[in-house]
Amino acid sequence: MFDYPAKVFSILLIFMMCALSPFLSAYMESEALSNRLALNEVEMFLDKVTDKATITQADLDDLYLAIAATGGIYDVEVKRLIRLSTKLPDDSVRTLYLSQDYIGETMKSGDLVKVTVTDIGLTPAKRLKWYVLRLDEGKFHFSLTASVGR
Amino acid sequence: MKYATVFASMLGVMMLSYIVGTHYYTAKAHEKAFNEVYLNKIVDYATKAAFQSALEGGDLGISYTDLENVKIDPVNTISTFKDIMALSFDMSLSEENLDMLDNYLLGGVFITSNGYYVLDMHPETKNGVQTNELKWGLKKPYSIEYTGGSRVAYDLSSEKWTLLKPSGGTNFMMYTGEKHNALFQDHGIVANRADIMNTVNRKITNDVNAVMVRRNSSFNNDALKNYLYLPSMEATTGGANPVLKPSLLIAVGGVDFLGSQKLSYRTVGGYTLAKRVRVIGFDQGGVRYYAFEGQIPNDVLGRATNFFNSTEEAAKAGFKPHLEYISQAK
Repeated sequence: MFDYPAKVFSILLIFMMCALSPFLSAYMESEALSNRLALNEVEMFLDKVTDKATITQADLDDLYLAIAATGGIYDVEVKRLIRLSTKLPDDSVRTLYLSQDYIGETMKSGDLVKVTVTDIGLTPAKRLKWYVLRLDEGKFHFSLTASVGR
Repeated sequence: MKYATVFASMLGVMMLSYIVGTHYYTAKAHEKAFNEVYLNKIVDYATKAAFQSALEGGDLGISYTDLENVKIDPVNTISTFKDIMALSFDMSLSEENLDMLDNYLLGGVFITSNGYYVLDMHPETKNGVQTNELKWGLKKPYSIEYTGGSRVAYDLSSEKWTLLKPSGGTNFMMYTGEKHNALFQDHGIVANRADIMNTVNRKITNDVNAVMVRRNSSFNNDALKNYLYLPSMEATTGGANPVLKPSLLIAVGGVDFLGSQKLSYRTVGGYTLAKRVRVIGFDQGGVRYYAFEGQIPNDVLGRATNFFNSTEEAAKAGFKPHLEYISQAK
């Protein structure tokens, strides 16, 4: 009778070791894979767009489709930053970047294109960690910036 | 019987801790693997932007067809590099953030056809405060010293040379020339291309490593303890890394603000100039065609009317692809 806590504890232990852990490892691996694929897709988009110096709706659609195909649910934001230089009172030149529209425009050399990808879906690994351990490691996100060249 | 249970439970707890440990390290390994590749791409894009900003001076419309005349001005390269890095990491472009990034730029060298710049900390007065700033040093020539005290500085993209010959005491006579032959005929110095390349590579490597060793003593950055190694020309029979064109190399390492672990990984971004092939539009038989530079015969080239950067631009302007020219191998 007094053995119940020990029995329950050992069943819990067995469950966590033999059932949850492999699941967690497998889910984490697939999440890492889709993150990596998203990074590759963003890189291809940036290479294409900075070479052409234009961003068309077709390019954006390709990017969104490719990121959706990685298996995760990501929010993609594409920004164009133009470079402004202003002179400060102490005669030094300060360079700033300003976000501007890009659809239908040809970007100048020196403009930057910044893509930010945020994971907004609940991957299975995150869900499992939350339900079992109440562990939330925050959203996965990354940005990549490239400059438009000739 | 009780002891067996205790033993089994302890074994269970040990196995659980192994599994938890494995999970922890797996998560770290995934994050680190991603961050290393991510840093690599960021440094690549940042170096590319830095290199492009150096080329922005001068009329590139002409100079792309003649690499000798490309004007290089490396003033803005480092600030552009740091801007791109900061923007990619979603950091604000404040002075403090950009100064902080100086700690992670291990070394850099900007190679032009007649000299090179090495990245180093230089004292600078900002707002009356004496600080060190990461800047390009003075341009150093590719010079070889020969017996008798003569020094010759070479240009790598052509055969130009400048000779300083000692002429009694501390005086020097300066000669310049356009071809290596002239150097041999007038002054008896044989200019061997392989020697020049070896010397250039050796000088650049020594200078960059010296800077990195000196900077290492000023702050605690593990990544600086190892040198940046540029393999010399003799690495293969055909030669590796010959310095023929303007190039930029920047090494970044020891990044510890990306993710939860410090990356002792070092990455080098490098860019060099390549001739860009433009799309040329011309009129033939009343129809407007386009083809790539180098595919169009010279007599037709004389009638070229428009230059475009890509085939899409040419198509948008109403030009059709000239299927006979465009399908030729260049």
